[in-house]
Amino acid sequence: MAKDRKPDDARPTGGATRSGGGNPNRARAGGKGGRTRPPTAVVANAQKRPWGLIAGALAVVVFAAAVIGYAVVQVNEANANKVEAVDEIAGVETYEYEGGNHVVTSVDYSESPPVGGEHDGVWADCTGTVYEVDIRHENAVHSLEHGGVWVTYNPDEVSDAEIETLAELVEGVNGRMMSPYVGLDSPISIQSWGKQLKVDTADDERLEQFADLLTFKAGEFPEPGATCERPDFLADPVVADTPSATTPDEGDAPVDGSATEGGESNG
Amino acid sequence: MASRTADATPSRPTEPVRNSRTPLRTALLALIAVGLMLIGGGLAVTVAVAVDRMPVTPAADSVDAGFARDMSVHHLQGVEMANLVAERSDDPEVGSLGFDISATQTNQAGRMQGWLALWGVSPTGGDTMSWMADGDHAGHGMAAMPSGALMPGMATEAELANLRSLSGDAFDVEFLRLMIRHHQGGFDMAQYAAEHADVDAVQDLAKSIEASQSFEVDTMTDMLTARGGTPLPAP
Repeated sequence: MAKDRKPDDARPTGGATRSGGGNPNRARAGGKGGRTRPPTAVVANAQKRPWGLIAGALAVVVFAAAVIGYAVVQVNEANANKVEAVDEIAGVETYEYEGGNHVVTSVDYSESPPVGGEHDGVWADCTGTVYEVDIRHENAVHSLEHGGVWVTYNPDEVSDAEIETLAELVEGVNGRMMSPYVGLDSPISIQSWGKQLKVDTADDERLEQFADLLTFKAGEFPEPGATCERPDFLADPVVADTPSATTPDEGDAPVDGSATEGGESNG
Repeated sequence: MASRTADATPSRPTEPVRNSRTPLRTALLALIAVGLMLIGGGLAVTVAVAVDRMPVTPAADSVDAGFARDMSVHHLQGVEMANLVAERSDDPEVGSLGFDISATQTNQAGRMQGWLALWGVSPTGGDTMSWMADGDHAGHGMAAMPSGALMPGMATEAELANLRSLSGDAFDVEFLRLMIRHHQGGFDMAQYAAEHADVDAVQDLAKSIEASQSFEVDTMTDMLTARGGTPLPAP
């Protein structure tokens, strides 16, 4: 009580200069608050602001954002590897061919240019080879079976400049070859085993996409590991609508012709 | 009674405190819960993607390693026979076939040996075809045999010596007979690996061998018939 009185006594003395009794109260409250603020603040904040939880939530949110961000990047990267698919190239026709027997006869193919089926025992050299003749189609199909990509053009519809552009796609790239194809129903056609894309101009970007995707593409042709090298064909290409280079001796021809189905014997 | 009062006493001061915290606390806890769920989901996706892209390393006794080991040995005998063609045959059709088989099977054997090197598995040793021992092929004459045993369709040393001594038409006929049987012998191994291998590349190659060699058997049988030969009994 005596202690209380002292400030009470002091107030009136100082109260002369200050007005009203509210100020002293405020001042006292303020004074008390100032002195006791640290403990009061801690208690009040602990009750109203759970810093531990806030920090925890913040950490969780930041970590979650980081993990989700990382996951998105990973998924995008994984998907980026799958961008290479035939159906992403507009206009590619797909045909089912498991493989094909070797025949020395000519073959009546369903597609033009052909993309699979029976073929000659000799494949056309496809080591980045640019032929100036319409190579025998039965030999070309064997190259497709070995994983080659074959660029063909209609010599009556494609200019020399365009042929030059096409040749740049083929020349020096193992697994590719190019030849004129008489009577082709579009200016340019590019094919691999079971796949074909017909385009009008040599600068169509899909030609390069097709060639880059399908040259020796694993799982897309029957004989992985087979070679495109064929020096004898390279030196002396067999042209379309002429007999096979391996046409057997006359004595063998009838037997062989009867053993292979379809097509007329060249013998 | 005593316990009740004891419970009631401490709960009284905390009760108002808890009430005053509830909205913020609940929100924070919810945020943490949602955050943890997102972390879990994100981690699951990340791990799934990582596992998906992780290269599989087959063990020495796996189908993948067994196929790579045995089929490369099987293939290389095919290469050995095909390499005789250029020197001993005069027939361009047989010559073309020999070149094709030699180049293709050399490449494929190299792939298989390359896988074994990557997996740290010896290219030789192990019981031949033991990787096919379980499954429906076991009762098919495909049971494991001692290391170094001739696999189905492989030529004996005597048959190889005989082939090396021939030339011209006689060589062509004997070469086709041995190569047809050789292809037929590898067929079951390829088929088994196409079904049971874990690594995509191994499965793909096995499928290719299975499909392309059965076409080649048809082709060679036609060629053999055309040259007046008769096939050996299938292995």
